[in-house]
Amino acid sequence: MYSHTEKGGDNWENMASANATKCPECGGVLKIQEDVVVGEIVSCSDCGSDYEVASIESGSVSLKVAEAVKEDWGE
Amino acid sequence: MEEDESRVNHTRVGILFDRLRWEEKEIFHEFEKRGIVAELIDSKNIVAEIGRSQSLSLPSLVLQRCLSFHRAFNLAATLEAFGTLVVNSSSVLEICGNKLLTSHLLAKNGIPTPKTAVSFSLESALNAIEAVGYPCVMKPIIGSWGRQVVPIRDRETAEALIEMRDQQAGDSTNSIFYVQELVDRPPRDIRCITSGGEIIASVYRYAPPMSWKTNVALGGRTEPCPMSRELEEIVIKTSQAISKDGILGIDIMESKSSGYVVHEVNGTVEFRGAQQATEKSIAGLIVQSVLARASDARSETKDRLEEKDSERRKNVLSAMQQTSRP
Repeated sequence: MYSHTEKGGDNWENMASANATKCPECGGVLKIQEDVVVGEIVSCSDCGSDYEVASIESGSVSLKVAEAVKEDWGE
Repeated sequence: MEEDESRVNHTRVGILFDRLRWEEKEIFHEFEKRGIVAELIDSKNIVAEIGRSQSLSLPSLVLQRCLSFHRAFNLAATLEAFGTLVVNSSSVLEICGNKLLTSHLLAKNGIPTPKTAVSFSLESALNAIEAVGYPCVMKPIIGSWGRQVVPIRDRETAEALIEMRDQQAGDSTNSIFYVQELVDRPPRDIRCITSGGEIIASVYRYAPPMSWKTNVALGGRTEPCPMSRELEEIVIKTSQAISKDGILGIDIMESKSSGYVVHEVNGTVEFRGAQQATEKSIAGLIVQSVLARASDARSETKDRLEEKDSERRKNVLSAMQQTSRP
């Protein structure tokens, strides 16, 4: 039901106007909320991997691997 | 306030982020409620050509919400150089993002803060620890969410920790040893959020089970904190010392021996936890004061803003000189 294509290794696109895709890390279901916006983080509920919404065009959501937490992150 | 807000309706407003979290979305919606569609600016995509402000199409007002301290500070400085009003400004971020600079500023302004010492080499680290005394806490000068904050209860632990820091590669601030007394307090601290010099939220943060750290990011829970006159005075004094225009998260402990002590001030405040314990919309109050600030700023020249930033920098340097005297 959900197809996605590899884009440069790290990015892939949820080609359908679907609300879920497969987590490339563990194969679990990655749920994408309908009101998701570019820049938002989508986390895999199975393995905890984080993905960032790179773009949304015509209902097609492109994701990329989110930056890992770094030492200077915080408030 | 309504008049202020209508006057800035024509202002382009941006929210600068690196991860779009619940807080940034709330702020976006609060701008939207006031008829302003804020531009969501992904800091990771910015390329700025130095000296060419036209290389970026910037809003005149940007709310800085980056998680990365270095990215936030350097980007704020860049946008300011291009004539954009950034809240919080680079000078506020610089002070809040560096616990050592925060400590100097608190001390200079007579704001109660835990006993703190700093040393700048492995050889002198133990002396800094023993100057504070046991038990104490070693913290990285840059960092948040309780990361690498380690309690030290005796000399054996101190020596082991110093050895570990010696072997850690990569972070040049590892050779700066910032040590603070471990304050004897209830299992909670207080987070006060100020915006434009006013207190907009005040909550207790309780440490999660089996932990001594109260950070909400680590699972701490919040409850409303009633504001006493003494607490209010300390919070307002802290806010004014750092930035009367900024948005600050001021963290306070209730020391059993010396009362309220300010131990940290956050320049990119997270407020999801605080919002759970307060009815008023924190994002709404932030947006309200930022728009008022933008309106005020129109009457200030760019030179005046630069002068104020320079003044703040001088204050930090002066505080450092004063606290370094025996």
